[in-house]
Amino acid sequence: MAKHDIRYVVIGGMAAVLHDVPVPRTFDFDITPKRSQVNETRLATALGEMGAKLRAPGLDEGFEIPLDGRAFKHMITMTFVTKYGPFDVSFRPDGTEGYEDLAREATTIQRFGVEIRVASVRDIIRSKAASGREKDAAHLLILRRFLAEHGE
Amino acid sequence: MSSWAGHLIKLARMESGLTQRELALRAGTSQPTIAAYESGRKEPSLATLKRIVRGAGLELRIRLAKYDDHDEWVRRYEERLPADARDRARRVDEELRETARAERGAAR
Repeated sequence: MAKHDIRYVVIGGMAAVLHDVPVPRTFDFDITPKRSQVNETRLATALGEMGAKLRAPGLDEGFEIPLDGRAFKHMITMTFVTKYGPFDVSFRPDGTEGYEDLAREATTIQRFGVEIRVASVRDIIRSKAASGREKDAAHLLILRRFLAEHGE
Repeated sequence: MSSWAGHLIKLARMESGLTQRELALRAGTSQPTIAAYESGRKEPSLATLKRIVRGAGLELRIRLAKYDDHDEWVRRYEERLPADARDRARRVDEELRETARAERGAAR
């Protein structure tokens, strides 16, 4: 991601882990990229280098799709399996308006020698609260307690 | 083991700032019942859950969404990983949390 200068914000469980919120360990990496032709082309290139295959509901194995700037056109969410693990791209996570919305409160951290933009705990809560999923109710409790205790 | 309903009741209390006793009073039930729901020892009916949430000044909204097997798939993916890869993931997870903790400590 950094190599290709992609604009994105880490969201979801991994963002919570990066803030040290005590949610369970997660194996997937979720990002919200900026919507622009240039950025989407860069993201497609990076995913190609990661050996990304598209994953569809009901299928365990991913399948290859042409990864270029058009791959994300009209798409809101895409789930990939890469050689580094599951990787989800969500242009408009539940309860948010997408990259610009999340980038406003995101923090930049340095991990493994690269800069990573991470959604704020408040925005992770906003998104999980909007999703209404069963699993997210448990995570919401943990996130809200963390926010009350530590702030951002 | 907490249930979804239990989590929702806890969230409702957190949101409203009510104690179990206060919520029980407003919802027409008892504090031990609220405690049992929150802990998952008892499961409220949907009507009861709605009444309790309303007692916290909130409304339970339910919507239908397309089934998404993503979480099950990630779990299966994890199970299929060789032990060393799972260990590596665990170590990375711990390292990420420790770094965040250290940075938070340094910022204080």
